[in-house]
Amino acid sequence: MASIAQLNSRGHMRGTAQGSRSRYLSMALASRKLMNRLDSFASTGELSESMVEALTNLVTIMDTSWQTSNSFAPVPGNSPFGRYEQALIVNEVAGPFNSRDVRGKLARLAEGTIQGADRGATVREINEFLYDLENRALYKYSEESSEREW
Amino acid sequence: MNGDERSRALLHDTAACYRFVKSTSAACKLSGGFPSYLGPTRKLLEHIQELSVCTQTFLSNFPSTNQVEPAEYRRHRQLLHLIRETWKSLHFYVQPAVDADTLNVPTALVKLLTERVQLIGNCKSLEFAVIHTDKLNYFQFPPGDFEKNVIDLGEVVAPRLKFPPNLGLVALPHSQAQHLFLNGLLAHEIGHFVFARLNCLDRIKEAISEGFRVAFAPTAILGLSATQLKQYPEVLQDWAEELFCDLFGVYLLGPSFVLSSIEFFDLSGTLAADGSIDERAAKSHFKFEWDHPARLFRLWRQSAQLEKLGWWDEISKNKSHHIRLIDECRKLRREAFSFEVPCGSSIIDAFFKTIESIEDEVARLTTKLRNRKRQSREVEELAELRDVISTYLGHAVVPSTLYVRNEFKRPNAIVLLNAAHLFYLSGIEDLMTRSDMPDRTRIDRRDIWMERVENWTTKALEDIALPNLGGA
Repeated sequence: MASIAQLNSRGHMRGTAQGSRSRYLSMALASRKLMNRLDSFASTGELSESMVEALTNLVTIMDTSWQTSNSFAPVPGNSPFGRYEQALIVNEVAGPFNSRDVRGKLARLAEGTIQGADRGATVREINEFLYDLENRALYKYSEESSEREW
Repeated sequence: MNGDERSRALLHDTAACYRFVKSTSAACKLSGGFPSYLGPTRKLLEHIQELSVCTQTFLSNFPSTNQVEPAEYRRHRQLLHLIRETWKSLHFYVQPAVDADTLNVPTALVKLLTERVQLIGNCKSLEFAVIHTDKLNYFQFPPGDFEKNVIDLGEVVAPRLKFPPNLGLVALPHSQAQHLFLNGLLAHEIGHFVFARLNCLDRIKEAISEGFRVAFAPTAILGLSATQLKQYPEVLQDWAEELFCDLFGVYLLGPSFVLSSIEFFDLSGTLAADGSIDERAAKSHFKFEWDHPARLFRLWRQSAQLEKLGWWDEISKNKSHHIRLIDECRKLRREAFSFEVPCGSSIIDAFFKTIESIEDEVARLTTKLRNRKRQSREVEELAELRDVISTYLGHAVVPSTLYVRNEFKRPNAIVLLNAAHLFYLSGIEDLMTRSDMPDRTRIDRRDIWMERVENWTTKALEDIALPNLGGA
């Protein structure tokens, strides 16, 4: 998959929009909120609606990125992960964890099919992925802040 | 680092973050009645202060390294970074919010806009906090991001703290606070809030996808990269929202919104000496950009909306060059516009297939702002009172209460705003001629009279907002 830097150098990326910087911060906050909710799920076993929504959203984004058919992607909507630049990061971060494995675990968590002994271990693994996602989003946010402010 | 060193480092960094939050929010501490704020702005400042207290409490209870598993340590450190970055982002807005006291916002206009929005279904309780911005461009300030960050941070540090559910934010350039007419552009910003709050995108999404299906032949799609296939729907989403907000502004304020747009973008500079659109001067205004439709496209659609809502017949005889430009824009066609990316023309075609759906969505929300003929409710009154208001302003009289056909009448606020805006564009010279400063070629004197017309209109808007104004 092409990285953001490569895309920029090829001129395929959109110019940096006013709102794009804050989207990275939204993405970092969304990652943290999901980590917290997953922690709560690990200890109680209760799925919250907002947690399922966030997990499903991530699964959809990962599926769209693997799409190879010649059709337009869906309209991204307002998801903090859904914009093109943010979706690229989701997939770049998932890569080292084995994207298909991450995708599968996210899907099973959303479906509520992971319970019992597997719950804690799966949440720990996904939270490692979300930690990296938050880390990368914060880095991108700071990077774009620096470009403007220093 | 051993355990003690890690612990000391974490304690220090937590305290540093605590200090940063405390000082960032200090300006929001309100005491006494001065300065005075509009209710929603006061609510916003109080919420930021509360969020600060909650963040400080959260940090005071932040787990030390002894309580955190080594595997979790990294995650805790990063949370401190996240909190600090989020407060850094709020820092950008705090002082501008504090600066937006009632002496430094167009209070009458904000109240009028709020009343208009509250006529929309599901928006009855919405209210808007006004904050300042150092950015001059109304169209590039995203207060929605601020709101989202405040809500998200609240969820992380104090899940029980709830952002006031009906509070929206709009921002105006701090230097333009006294310019009544230009601040009509706030209607566009309010449109962004309504678009998100009422999930308008959900009803437009399908039209965007359909637009792509119709505008792109399968063979054309084969020529697009995977990146383009993912980016272009995002572009149409952004354009759709911008167009929605423009049209929403027209529904909310009528021609005054369009006239403000022309002034802000300096679009009247596109008129040639013969009064037609100068294609060379207007070249860049025909181009769509990644984030916004072309400026003349936006004006074209606003002009079409004025016609649909019945405004055009009532304003078309005004002699100002702004009206001339609107008239010229009405003649524009699809072929005039371009988007300079691969398959840009097809993307514009796809967008044109979406326009009807966007217009329908705005119309659906604003039913109560129209009469049975589907025109704006204020059109007929504008026809009746425009010349009277103009006469009042032309004689330096605040048009709060009008004497019409042997009785006193209080004009509708939208009628007043629009009639005054038209006078502002075409009647200043008459006013100057009658004044003790009749030299109409003096820019500095023109400036004085323009400012006075805005002040009189603001005063009239304040007067008619008062209940039971005597004589009306």
